[in-house]
Amino acid sequence: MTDSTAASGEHLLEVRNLSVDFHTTHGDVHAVRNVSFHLDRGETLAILGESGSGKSVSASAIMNLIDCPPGNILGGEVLYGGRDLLRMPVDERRDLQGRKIAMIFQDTLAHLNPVYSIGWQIGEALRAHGVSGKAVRERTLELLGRVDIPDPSRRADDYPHQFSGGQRQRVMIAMALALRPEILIADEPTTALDVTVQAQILKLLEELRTETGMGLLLITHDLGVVAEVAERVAVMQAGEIVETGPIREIFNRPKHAYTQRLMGTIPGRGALVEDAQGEDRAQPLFEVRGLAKHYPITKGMFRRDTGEVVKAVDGVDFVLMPGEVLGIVGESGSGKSTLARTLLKLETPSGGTAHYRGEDIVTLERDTLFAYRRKVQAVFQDPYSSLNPRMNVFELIAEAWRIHRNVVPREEWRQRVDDLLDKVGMRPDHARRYPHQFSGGQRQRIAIARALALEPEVIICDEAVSALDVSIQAQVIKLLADLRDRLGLSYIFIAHDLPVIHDIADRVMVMKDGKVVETGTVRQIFEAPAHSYTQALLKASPVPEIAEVA
Amino acid sequence: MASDVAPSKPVAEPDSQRASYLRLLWNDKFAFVSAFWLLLMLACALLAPMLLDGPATTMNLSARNAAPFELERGFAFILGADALGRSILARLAVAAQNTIGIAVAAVACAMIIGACFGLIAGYVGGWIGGLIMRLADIIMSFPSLLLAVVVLYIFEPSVFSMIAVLAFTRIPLYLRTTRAEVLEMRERVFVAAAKVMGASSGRILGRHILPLVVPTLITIATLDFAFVMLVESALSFLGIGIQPPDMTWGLMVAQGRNYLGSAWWLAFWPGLMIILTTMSLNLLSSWLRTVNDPEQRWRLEIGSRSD
Repeated sequence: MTDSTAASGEHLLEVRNLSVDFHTTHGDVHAVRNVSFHLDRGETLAILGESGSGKSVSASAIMNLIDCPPGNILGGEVLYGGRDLLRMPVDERRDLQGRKIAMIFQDTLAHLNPVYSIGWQIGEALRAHGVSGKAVRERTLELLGRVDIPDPSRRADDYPHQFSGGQRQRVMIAMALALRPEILIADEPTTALDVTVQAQILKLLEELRTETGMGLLLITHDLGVVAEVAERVAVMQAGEIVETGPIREIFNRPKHAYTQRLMGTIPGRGALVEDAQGEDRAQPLFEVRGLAKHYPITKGMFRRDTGEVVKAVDGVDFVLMPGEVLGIVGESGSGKSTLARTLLKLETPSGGTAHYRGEDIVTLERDTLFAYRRKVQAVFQDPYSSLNPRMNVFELIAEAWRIHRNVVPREEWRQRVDDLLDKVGMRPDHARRYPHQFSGGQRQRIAIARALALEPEVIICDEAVSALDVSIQAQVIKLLADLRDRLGLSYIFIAHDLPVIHDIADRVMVMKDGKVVETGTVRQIFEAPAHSYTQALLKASPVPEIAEVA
Repeated sequence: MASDVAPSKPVAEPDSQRASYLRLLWNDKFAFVSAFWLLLMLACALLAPMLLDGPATTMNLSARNAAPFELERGFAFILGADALGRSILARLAVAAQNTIGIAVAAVACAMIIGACFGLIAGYVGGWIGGLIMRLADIIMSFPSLLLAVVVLYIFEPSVFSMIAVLAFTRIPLYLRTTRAEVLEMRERVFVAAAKVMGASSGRILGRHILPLVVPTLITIATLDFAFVMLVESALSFLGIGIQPPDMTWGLMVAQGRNYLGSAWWLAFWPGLMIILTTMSLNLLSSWLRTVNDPEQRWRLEIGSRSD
């Protein structure tokens, strides 16, 4: 930091009128158009935008990570210390990057080399820039300690797969910090992490920023993350920056229509569902008692049973009433997806009972299982893989009627597909297209239409909106809520953070390590959480609210 | 399942679909030429043995090893003559039937049997899957040529036993590929979605898994085609395959080997036929894969651009 060449009064990093195109067969895509922003020393600037808004492309242009072709940097300047990075000789630029400007990414497993220990990889960054001998090891351990990896001298010799996602992100941060950069670019650093881990990583980044005085450029789609750490925000939409300003301005007095709309879609701000009353007489749809799914741990080449088990789901009780939405919240590994797969009869439970309308689903026979399948449908997390890429929308939806032959007569298929598409907010002419021609949100709508085709009573939504952008998320949740009102559906709505559940669930069940830690109405959970884990979850979920300060 | 699909589409569709397939074929010039060549070979295989059997088998000792590109003996000798003075052109045309027949039948049998067992091994798994895989290992670890020699020594060498042996030794290739692909496909979310919908195992395999495995199999099959032709020629060379006066391209290559120094054209022309046919199959199969993949089809639909 001592050899800074930047004259005082100048910005640490300044991007001026940057434009980037991508050549595709459908013509040029203007990924970034005339984007300008700047970053000062010791400041956190967040670039906020949904997928496809060009936020990552802007960062890639700074780091020289755009492949040309198909990418093409049309114009603009990236000024660092008064010099334009885009017009600098390649050697000089490479030297600058890594030393002065470092970057961390979302997918830590892909960015760490699996065949070298993490200590070696951090050391490599140091060695590449001229540190040698014992100093490398010392500095490595110091860095690992700084990012709170426990017992650095032992863990330094471990390989990436031996760390958890949050720890790998810490290792990436240590690598980025190895050469004391002045600018750290973080591209969706916490998107793949659980909320409690996310909170820790954000805290660490903030600490490091204050400590080293570096500028932090944070790229994210998550309003909560922005609210947590950023001081200024640049909102990007369709390749352009639509609004820039201090975080308080943007959150409390958004000027641009897009920003206003974005703020309106934040989950967890709508009115809570009022506690349902007087429906106790009805027969419950699902009645689950002590449901368990254990996986035996086997060893050696003969799969010898070690007698130990992984308790993925461990004694879960709940009841789902007709017309009710039960939210199930838990972090990864909490057993919520295994629970969903067990209810969907994709897994066989190892213990406990589960009844659907009084009928035991564990012992369903061929015919009764077939009838059960019709009543209970599912929408899965990843809309990119839950639709067969070889089938068009019509085939995808009509397949349900090919399997259950007595639901809709064949002459009416076309009409019914059109109706269903209309119901989920799509056009009838979409029926002839294939899944890859749709965006993530549209695909999730198709998946919902497919689930509705059999006129089910319950839809199990396994992280159905987790992979979607926040404004799309809001649309899909609204669609699901509408459908529930119109068709009298019940949902089991599984999510990994609480705000998503807030707007749709009647009751919430919080899971941890295969067990239910707390169940209650949505009001109880959000306003008076009893269990310490629920409180931690609520606290960790970055709530995008900025207090008004005069 | 086929009857399931057809009625749901308007009646006029098949025609327009065929037209669009032809247009897409025209857009890929390599695939178009390949298709043309394969049609020509098919015509040879069907018609040549009837029309050209005379010229292909009539010996003419004065034309022994006659050089190619000389028209004084007539057009039939444009590609030269073999060691017994028979027209190579006519022999190539007639041999197409045996060659293509054996290779297609062997590859198709191996592919279908291998794919079926591969689907079972991959989808059912358990001890049945293990048993199937171990059997495949046994076939693989046994030298295929040795097996062919033993079998053909015991049974009468005929076209049929030849096909059976060739198909048998190639089964593990398809079986293992199919199993590996199925293992990956069955974990995909859309398979879980189909299960939740109540789809039977047969439907999941037929509608959701097989269509995504077939393109890989077809690609392997076209490459395998050349290999089978060469093994067949090796067996013929050892004297346990197709026997003269029957002929195949492989046998013609084998017979021409003795004259490579003095009359290269004896082995060259049948060799060229094998190469061209295999290459055509390969190009056409890659076109087919592109056309049948909704995510890739646009590559052909944007038309024949100069790049």
